Amino acid sequence: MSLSSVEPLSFDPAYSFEASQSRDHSGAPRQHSFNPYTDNGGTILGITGDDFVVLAGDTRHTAGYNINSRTERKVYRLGDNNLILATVGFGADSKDVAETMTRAVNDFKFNHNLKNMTVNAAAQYLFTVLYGNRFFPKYTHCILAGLDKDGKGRLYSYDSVGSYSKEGERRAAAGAASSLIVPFLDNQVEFKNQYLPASNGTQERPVEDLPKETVIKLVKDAFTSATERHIEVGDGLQIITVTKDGVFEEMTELKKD
Amino acid sequence: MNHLPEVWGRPRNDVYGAYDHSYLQGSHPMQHTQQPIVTGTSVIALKFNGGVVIAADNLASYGSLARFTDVERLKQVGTHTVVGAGGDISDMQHLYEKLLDSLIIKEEYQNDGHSLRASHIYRYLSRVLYHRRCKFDPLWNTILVAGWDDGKPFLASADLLGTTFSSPALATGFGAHLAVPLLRRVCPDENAVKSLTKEKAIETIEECMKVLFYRDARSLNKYSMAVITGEGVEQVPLSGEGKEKVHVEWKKDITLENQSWKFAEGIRGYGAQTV
Repeated sequence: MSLSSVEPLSFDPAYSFEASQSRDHSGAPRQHSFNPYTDNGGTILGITGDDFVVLAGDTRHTAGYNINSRTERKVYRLGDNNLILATVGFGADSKDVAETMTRAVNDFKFNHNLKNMTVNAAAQYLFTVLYGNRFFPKYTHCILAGLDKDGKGRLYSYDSVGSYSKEGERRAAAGAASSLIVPFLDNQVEFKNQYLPASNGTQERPVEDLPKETVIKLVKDAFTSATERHIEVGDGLQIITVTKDGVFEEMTELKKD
Repeated sequence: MNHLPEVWGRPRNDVYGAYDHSYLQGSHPMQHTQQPIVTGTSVIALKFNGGVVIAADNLASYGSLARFTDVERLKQVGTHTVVGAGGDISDMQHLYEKLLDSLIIKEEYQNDGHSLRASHIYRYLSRVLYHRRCKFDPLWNTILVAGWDDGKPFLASADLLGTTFSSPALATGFGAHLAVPLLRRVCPDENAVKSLTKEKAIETIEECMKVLFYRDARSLNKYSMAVITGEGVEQVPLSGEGKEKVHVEWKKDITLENQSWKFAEGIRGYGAQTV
């Protein structure tokens, strides 16, 4: 019997499976230690009225306990029409989605005889952008808003893989302090758990569209409250209002601690 | 026969020829950068009225070994910009020598009088970093881009994940913990930039480099500093287009001075010991 028959075959450089030797003994592929996601904090919020819509976000950008920037905006105008988008979550993905949407809205105008993209078309497109990354999701929560053909305020909110309600919503909040803000909006915008006085809890308070001034007040109250109780919310507040007269931006201060 | 089940019963090369390796491609993961090896520590930068000052020390560490002590981590890119990088040094060299050098050469081919400004360089770098993270093959760096752009000082940060943000005072790595609080004392917001002089900005950066040398175990007492100053926009006759005058002043091989160690002579033991 020749010696070669007892030698490990894999030592022969010509043998076909020498590459398999470089694997570790568990046989499982080695895990990447690189994590492609992070959380940059922040919160966004949107409320519709009858003929307007408000989108707001704080301007703090965080990395763990660090504040990267106190002035990083996360509510974007998409093109020069009445579409606005707020994104929160992983900062790099958020900005990438906002950029993709801005480009889509501009391209639509060039490709369709200078017709503006409608808000429901933009909403459907944003779904395809997010769902297109279904298996490597954009780690971002979006709220899209604008006025529809009849001048009514429309608001759509998304999860990170694109789920959204085609009917739109009256109010939406996302991000770090959404759990602090959503219950407040349920009560103050949807009038949940409110009953007409003297009805002995049998007649719910009827839901009605709020005037713009009230909505702005609610937005500011929501964010000052969130700033008190969430460490990733603060520094500045960006409020964008869309009406038939145009898009208006307001910047106010939040606590910086 | 050996002990490895996967090679049992394979056709012999001497009888059937070598196995076609192309069938095996993709059966195990591609090897990408999974951790930085030779690393640079903090880069710090501060805007002032009329420009930006940026600094980084000259050390490239190999783990805890202070391996290379003469590494330049700041790079001038074109006429308007200085980029500073922390993190993996080989990835930094790839960025500087493969990507940015050829970017500038391509821009100069045009020879149209236009030059890339700080925001253009920043946008390019942040998209490269984000693209590489999306391929699961990141460039393991955090970079600061300092320069002059459209009549204003420019300063912004980008990292291996493609995370981007901007602020009048920025620092990477350890500097984010130690230097940023000191920088924000003199420059808390954009309004403060307007009243901050170049001299005060340089002094603050020097102070921060000293604090970093005291407290960062992977830092060096030798560093480089670049001061980018712009002179607004000078009107070019006929075309009406503005042309910016940008000056980049380099200070290399700066040695830390006025360190405070005298107090150490009085320290004895860890508690009760007096001599």
